[in-house]
Amino acid sequence: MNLEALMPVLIALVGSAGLWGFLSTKAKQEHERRLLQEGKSAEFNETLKEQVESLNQKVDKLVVEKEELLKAIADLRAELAEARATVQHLEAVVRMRSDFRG
Amino acid sequence: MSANGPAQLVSYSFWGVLVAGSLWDFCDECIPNVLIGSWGGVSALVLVVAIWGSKKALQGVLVADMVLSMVILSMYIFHDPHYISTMVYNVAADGTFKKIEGDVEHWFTVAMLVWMTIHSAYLANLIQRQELESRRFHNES
Repeated sequence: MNLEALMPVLIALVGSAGLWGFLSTKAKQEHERRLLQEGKSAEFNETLKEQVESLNQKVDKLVVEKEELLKAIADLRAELAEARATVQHLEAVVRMRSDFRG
Repeated sequence: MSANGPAQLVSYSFWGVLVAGSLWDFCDECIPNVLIGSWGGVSALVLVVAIWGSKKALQGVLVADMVLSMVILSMYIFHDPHYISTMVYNVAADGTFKKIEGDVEHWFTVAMLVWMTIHSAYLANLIQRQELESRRFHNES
């Protein structure tokens, strides 16, 4: 077989090797890109999870503090009502005494 | 494997055999019948491997088919009609002679071979991409 007859075969072999090399490399690059994207996505999800856990703890703490504050306000209201009743009683006593003298 | 994968492989296999058969005895001197027969055989093998073989083997067979398709395509394009081989003519009703292979037939044969090459490359690449996706889903690098 002379070189002229071998030429089409050589061209075809080089062409098919090039075509397959191109397609194969492209598929591998796409695979690598997806793996990288998946890794980044997993890292992002992990960070989000940590942030949610941290915020959850803060919310729990704030709820406890709010309950304590509501309780303190209720105590203060009770004391205020008691003091107001005492003051009204004393005012009435003072008024009765001044009426009696007059 | 996606839903259309096996159907395409079966279709490709049948068409490979049919196209190889249509080129049989084209010019044994320039495109040996052994080569055309091997191409048809590899195309038939695609069906067998698609059913019973592994994906790696299927990919290998499809790549081999692509190489053979391209070799035959290249040989067909570079084929120089030589007058020492048999020329076949049809005799028309008016008594004129018509050469069997015309330009239209030539270019349609080229298109057919180009299509077979591209299709086999696409299918081999499809198998490779499916394999890589399968590895990704199973957390393999």
